[in-house]
Amino acid sequence: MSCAVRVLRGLCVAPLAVLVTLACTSESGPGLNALRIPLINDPILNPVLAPDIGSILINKIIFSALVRPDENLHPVPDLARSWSTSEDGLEYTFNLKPGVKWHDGEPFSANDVKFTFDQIKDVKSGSRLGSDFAAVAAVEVIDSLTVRFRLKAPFAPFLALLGYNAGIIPAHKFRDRKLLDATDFSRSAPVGTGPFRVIQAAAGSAIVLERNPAYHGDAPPLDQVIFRIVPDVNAQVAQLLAGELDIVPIEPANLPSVERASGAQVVRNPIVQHVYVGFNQQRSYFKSPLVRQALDLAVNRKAIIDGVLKGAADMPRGTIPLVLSGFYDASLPAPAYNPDSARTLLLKGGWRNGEHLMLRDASGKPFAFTLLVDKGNPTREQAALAVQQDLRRVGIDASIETLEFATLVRDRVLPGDFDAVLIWWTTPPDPDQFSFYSSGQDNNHVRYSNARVDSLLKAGRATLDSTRRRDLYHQFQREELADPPVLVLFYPRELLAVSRRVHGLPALGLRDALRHAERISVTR
Amino acid sequence: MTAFLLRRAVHALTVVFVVCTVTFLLVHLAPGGPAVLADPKLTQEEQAAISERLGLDRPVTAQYAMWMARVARGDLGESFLYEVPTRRAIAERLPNTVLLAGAALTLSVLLAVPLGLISALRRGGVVDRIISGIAFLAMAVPTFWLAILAIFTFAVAFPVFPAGGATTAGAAGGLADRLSHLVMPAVVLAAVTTAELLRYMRSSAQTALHQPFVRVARAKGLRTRLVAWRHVLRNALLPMVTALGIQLPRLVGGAAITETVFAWPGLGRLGVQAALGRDYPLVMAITLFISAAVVVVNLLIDLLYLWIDPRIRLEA
Repeated sequence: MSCAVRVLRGLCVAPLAVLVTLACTSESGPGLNALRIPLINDPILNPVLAPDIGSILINKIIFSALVRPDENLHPVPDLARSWSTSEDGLEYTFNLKPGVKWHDGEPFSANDVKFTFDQIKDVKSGSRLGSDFAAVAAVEVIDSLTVRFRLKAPFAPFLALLGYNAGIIPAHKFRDRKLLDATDFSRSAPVGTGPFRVIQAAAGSAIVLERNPAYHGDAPPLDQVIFRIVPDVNAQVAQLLAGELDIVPIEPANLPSVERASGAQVVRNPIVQHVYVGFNQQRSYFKSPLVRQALDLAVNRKAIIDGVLKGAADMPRGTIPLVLSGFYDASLPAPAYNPDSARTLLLKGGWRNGEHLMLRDASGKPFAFTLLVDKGNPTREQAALAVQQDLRRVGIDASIETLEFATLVRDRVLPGDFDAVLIWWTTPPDPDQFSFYSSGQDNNHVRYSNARVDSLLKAGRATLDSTRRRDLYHQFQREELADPPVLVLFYPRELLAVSRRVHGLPALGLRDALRHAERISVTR
Repeated sequence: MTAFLLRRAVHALTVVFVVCTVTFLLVHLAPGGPAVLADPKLTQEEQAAISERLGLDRPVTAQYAMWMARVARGDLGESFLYEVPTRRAIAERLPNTVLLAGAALTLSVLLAVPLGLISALRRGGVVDRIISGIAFLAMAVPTFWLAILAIFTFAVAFPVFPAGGATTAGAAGGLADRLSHLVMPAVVLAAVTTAELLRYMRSSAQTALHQPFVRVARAKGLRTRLVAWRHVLRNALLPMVTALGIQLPRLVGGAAITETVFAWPGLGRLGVQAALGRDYPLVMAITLFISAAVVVVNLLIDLLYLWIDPRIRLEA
């Protein structure tokens, strides 16, 4: 016995001694005043190539753009000091801020702007921004601080798009190589003009940025911004509660654990996004506007917003989100939930009552289809279930198919091989939805086609006068009531768990808020 | 010896070739495609440009032939997701994986060998039942749950250890910082390994206990402790070498859950992300690397046997 006991005692005591020593020496965080934000994967540190949201977020801090959105989402100067537009709306001339330096000390000039947009326009460069700037015909350098964009047609969203993802990259770093070949740049040593510059990038661990002493705007109070790679959202929340992260985007399911914590609070900022069920209008069921009106009436959005999203969403009126207040028509009626009217409409449209009040067409075929939703996001999966139940109540049999997001998009949505899909659009802060809902456009996955909407959306993107533009989008929203392109479920609010030590975070979605990283501070 | 090594090398190459071929077919036949192509905003022209650049516009057989040709030249291709050579992506993560797997394996062996021996010596007794009970519990508890529980206990409720990462980002770090980050993931990863190794050890020690040489030793009047340490332990350790070889690939490639929850930048997590993002070159490079590592480790273990057990001969 004595032998066993001695061995056991040794086993317990030795590691404990080590652990206690370690615990006493471990640091709780960096000594500087740093803001710590999670990413789920290693980012690509080049705004032209950035393929995912994580890369987009970090690039907003490293790379300034010509303009950036203010708290009302209006474009205000960033690298451009001012700009003017020609009478016909085909030319934008930007006067650049003088004395701006890249993170490596080289001077920033109009050549860099031209280089960036030449790369963006070149489909072979690996650019992910080509479709945003399809309207740009050419970029001309007038002098080192003046640059002129020539457009193919007047394009009202242009300024909003400039401030969205189009960070400017340095021409001198790509003199003899392609963007895609500059892996050191896009992985660990990017050079931008933003308020913070990368000093350390450890694959799979963290990207550490420090204050850019030569920043062209107000000096940031933060010493560092640290992006930590934490793939699991529950682990992110745990790290926030442990004081190791400061801002964490969360899901409604995480609300209770964050709200209980004393060191963090939840902010719910509206974002430019609409979540919807898109019905493939090449399928005969969904061709008739009457059917889509009925589907609109059949879904209880309030129950989804309160139950699934825990209130973190706004009631939708069409596809233009509430946050675009300058274009959103709040005078329209909120969508009604009325299964009886939905049923009446469907019966009027030629559907018949079958067994168990399930609808059938004239030939006796049931009104049944498959609703796709991406796998792994409990909020959207539950919303899909709620839609399925609501539709069953009016006699429509929707079966749910969950697929990984990549599979869903590439194999089903892009080729148009689906009946219905629960998905969303995150858009720049501009009401232009031409590519989503105009006939025959690449992003019009639901194959919606309405001649009046086509002309309104076409006019909307070509009209620079803001009053006239607002009227066009108000008309568009009215048209959507009669002929809904998609069934908009809600305008989500971004749920952010924010440590109480963080101050000055603009009341914008994180994507836009990080364009103002120099305003954020933390108490130690 | 040379003939043996040659034969084993041919076997090894065959195994690696088969594993890679099957993996290549599986990842290409799996539904969905590279995440870089799954952006609903991409226009058809952009999709076509990306497909062409990545070679995805060619038939799978042609892609396979190209891949084989490149591997023969020592080029493992570029990762779709990270836009870097896959070799570099693996090299960046490998040290962390070796550290975590090494720590977990060391911890497992240090715990499993003595506890397994004690269990065998006290078979059926209270100590054996407690040890076996804990071992079964460790095998039954899901890793992600154990990991989250550990974080909430030792990083949130009683902040003793950091909640995740391999170092404190932005701080100077140092050995203590590195070790304090290692403790929780290593312990969680070691939990299952320890339990399994302990069961191996217990049964092999039991087998040894009933061998004639143990009876002889006892009959000579040796003390129990001496019999246990000198005769039982040494002989019981032999099968453990094989058990270790089985655990190793799992610790290197299969630590994905532990690595994900603890935000540990290792190879397992890289592999899972590559598979989810359908990053074909990276999936293939990791498969090639891990299968080669497994084959080599197994070969080394076979050679190790020659050295630790003189009764074994190559021809046998």
